Amino acid sequence: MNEIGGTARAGTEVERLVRLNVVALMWAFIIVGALFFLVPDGVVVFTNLVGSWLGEFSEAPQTGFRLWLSLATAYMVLVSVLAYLIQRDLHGNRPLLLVLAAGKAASSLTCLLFYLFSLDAFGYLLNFLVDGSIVLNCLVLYRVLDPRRRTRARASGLPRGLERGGRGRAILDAVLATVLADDDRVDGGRAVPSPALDEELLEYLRGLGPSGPRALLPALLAIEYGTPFWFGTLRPFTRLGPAERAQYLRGFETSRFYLRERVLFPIRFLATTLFYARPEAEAAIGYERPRIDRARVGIY
Amino acid sequence: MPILDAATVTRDVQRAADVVVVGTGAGGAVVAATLAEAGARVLLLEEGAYHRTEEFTARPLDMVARLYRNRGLTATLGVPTIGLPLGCTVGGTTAINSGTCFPAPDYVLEQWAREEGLDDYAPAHLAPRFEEVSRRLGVRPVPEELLGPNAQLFRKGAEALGFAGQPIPRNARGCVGTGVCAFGCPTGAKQSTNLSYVPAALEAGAELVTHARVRRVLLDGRRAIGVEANLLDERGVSNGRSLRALGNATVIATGAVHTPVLLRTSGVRHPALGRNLRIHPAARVGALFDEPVRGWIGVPQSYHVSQFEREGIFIQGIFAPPAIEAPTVPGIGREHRERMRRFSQLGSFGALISDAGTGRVAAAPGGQPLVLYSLAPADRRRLARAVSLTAQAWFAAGATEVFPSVRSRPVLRSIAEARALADDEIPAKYFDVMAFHPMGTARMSADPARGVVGSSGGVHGYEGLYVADASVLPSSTRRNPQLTIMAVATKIAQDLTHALADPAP
Repeated sequence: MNEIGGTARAGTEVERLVRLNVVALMWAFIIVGALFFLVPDGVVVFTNLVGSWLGEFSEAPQTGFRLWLSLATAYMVLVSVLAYLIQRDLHGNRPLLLVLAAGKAASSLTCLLFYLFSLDAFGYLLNFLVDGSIVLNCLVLYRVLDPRRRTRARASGLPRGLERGGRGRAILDAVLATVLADDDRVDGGRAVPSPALDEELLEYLRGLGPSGPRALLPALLAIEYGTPFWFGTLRPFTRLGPAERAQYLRGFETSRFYLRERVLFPIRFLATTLFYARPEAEAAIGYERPRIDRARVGIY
Repeated sequence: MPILDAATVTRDVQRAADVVVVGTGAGGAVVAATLAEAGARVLLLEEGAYHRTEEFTARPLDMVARLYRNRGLTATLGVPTIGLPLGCTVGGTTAINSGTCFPAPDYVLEQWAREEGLDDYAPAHLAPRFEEVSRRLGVRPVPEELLGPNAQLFRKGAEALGFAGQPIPRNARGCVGTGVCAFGCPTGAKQSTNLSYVPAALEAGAELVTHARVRRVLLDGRRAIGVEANLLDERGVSNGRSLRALGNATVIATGAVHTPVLLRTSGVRHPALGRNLRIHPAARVGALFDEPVRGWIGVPQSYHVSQFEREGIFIQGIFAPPAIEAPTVPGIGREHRERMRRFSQLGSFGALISDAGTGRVAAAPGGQPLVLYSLAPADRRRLARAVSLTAQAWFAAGATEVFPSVRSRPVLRSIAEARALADDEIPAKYFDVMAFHPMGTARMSADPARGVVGSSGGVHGYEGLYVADASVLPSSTRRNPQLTIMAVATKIAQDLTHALADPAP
């Protein structure tokens, strides 16, 4: 029940962000297209002006011949319509993101060529950068809307990387094993198994909402790739030996650098809490749970 | 009993009453019971669920997930980050506290009268309310047989050092010392408001709606006419339904963290609203002994050292089950495991301080409260002294290792090291701190320029809008505030009863 709810909310959140992104693109295309059409010389003058503020650029010429303007207007109408169609049906019209990216890539790359081999006008450079960014943006959105990614997310209800087999999950498992010395035994040969503590921890965080488990990822990545700064080795955390891992994490626990200590704190907190909440762990350390005499409840 | 669980509701709900009370903790439940017993029609709203004693399993994590806000993971933003546990259930934080019931000291009440013009709250005026609340809750000191070995051992150390201390007065009837007060009393002995004032209110005719998260107070100009709430499912997620509750008076009692945000998002403006936040920062001081302690036996918060109260330091028992103690035991891997293996030899006491600095509560995007608080330099020094005194008592009792919750000194091994801690300049970020008892964010004062509410709990400048929880306390109570909140809420409810019976023209 929880998992389904959490996943549904996560999917909606991502879709909302993607839709917002495409709608913003659509309005940008409409406004810029209108500016091109209504004040083409003004746009040229303005980009020349900005270029002169930023550095040494050649001045782009104005022209009275409007054929290219007609073609540019048609292109801006086309990309606006594409953006409109995409935001109407994100998943159904997902391939149109590639069409949009192709158009923008053509615009971006031709401007780069003109800038390099024709005239070093700021307008060319600007269009190369802006349309190039839009190409990258479209490709990212295309990937985000990948149905296979959605299926994986739905299956686990977890952010990418923390699903079973993911990179973040491998780091989490290594941290948990190190914090709890899970490779050994707790009490004189009496084993205290801790299967699926990672699942338990993620489930606990999932109870806080979809962003709960996601908050773990930056901390896990900092632990994994912080070794060059805090342990003097290029090997990431998961490739250290058990004793090295313990020594490395002890450095986090006692660090005088507050943010570093805070990186491990929530994971250590939840790991030790969840582990020692288990009846077998309680028994192994001699804790006696209170015996509740239900017959006496409520008689006071 | 007249209880509507909004999680089962499939349509929007409307209600009308004389008084709408939001919150069922130490403030709201007392107001609801007092008004209902005086004959008013009361509607009581609660965001959490109504759990019966039989549902309290004594398993900490189960209960934290059910009874605590955000699964116990609420915290302040600042240096250091401070865990600030809050209840989210019928009974509010009274369902998850240790039941400690101290009246605010006379010198605090006198200060309120002197500085805020709150003559009605002078010791002589508030004393009958303290007595009334104490009688209803069965407040009495923890008997010797329930002190438990953790407290007995600590008392031995404290007495050896000449520290004055006493058993703590608690609101318990028939307590058998299960040791899990903070996770919902599984025997129904602790008289939290879900077992005392809320049932009394319901018996007197009040109606309770659970799973109702109030999103705003309805204001008609400068007059409150009720509240609107989102109705929640069992997971605490909005089920798309809403509640509109109308009343001649609206009493907000959602606690010092949520009350200012609710008022602010409803359009109430006052420069002191959300400011003046006072808390009791606390460090857990654990101790390992060579012999078994079995600290889980008896009442966890049964004994306190009162010697240093004037300095703003109070030292109280605080033993918890392994799941809660484990994160505070230092070490990684085998080092941690070896210490946990000796769990039966562990003692644990809390070093709390009454803060001199203040924080504030702001509204984050989405209407959630954001608690901004950093330890002031004076509090940092006071906390270091409190931890040092607690550690000294443990060593005097025979401890071999003490864990002071100070990251730069995770393990102390002698009383000399414990003494030295008080003189160390320990940066705030090195303390592992939790805090309890948030208060003061809608401060009471007779002066409308200083206080959000007046002496009867009414919000200055508004009609029919009252606050009756820890947020009205003008300064730190310097002790656990539950009893003081209840006495103040009793006074506010009694004044409101008169106001409803004899409305001003």
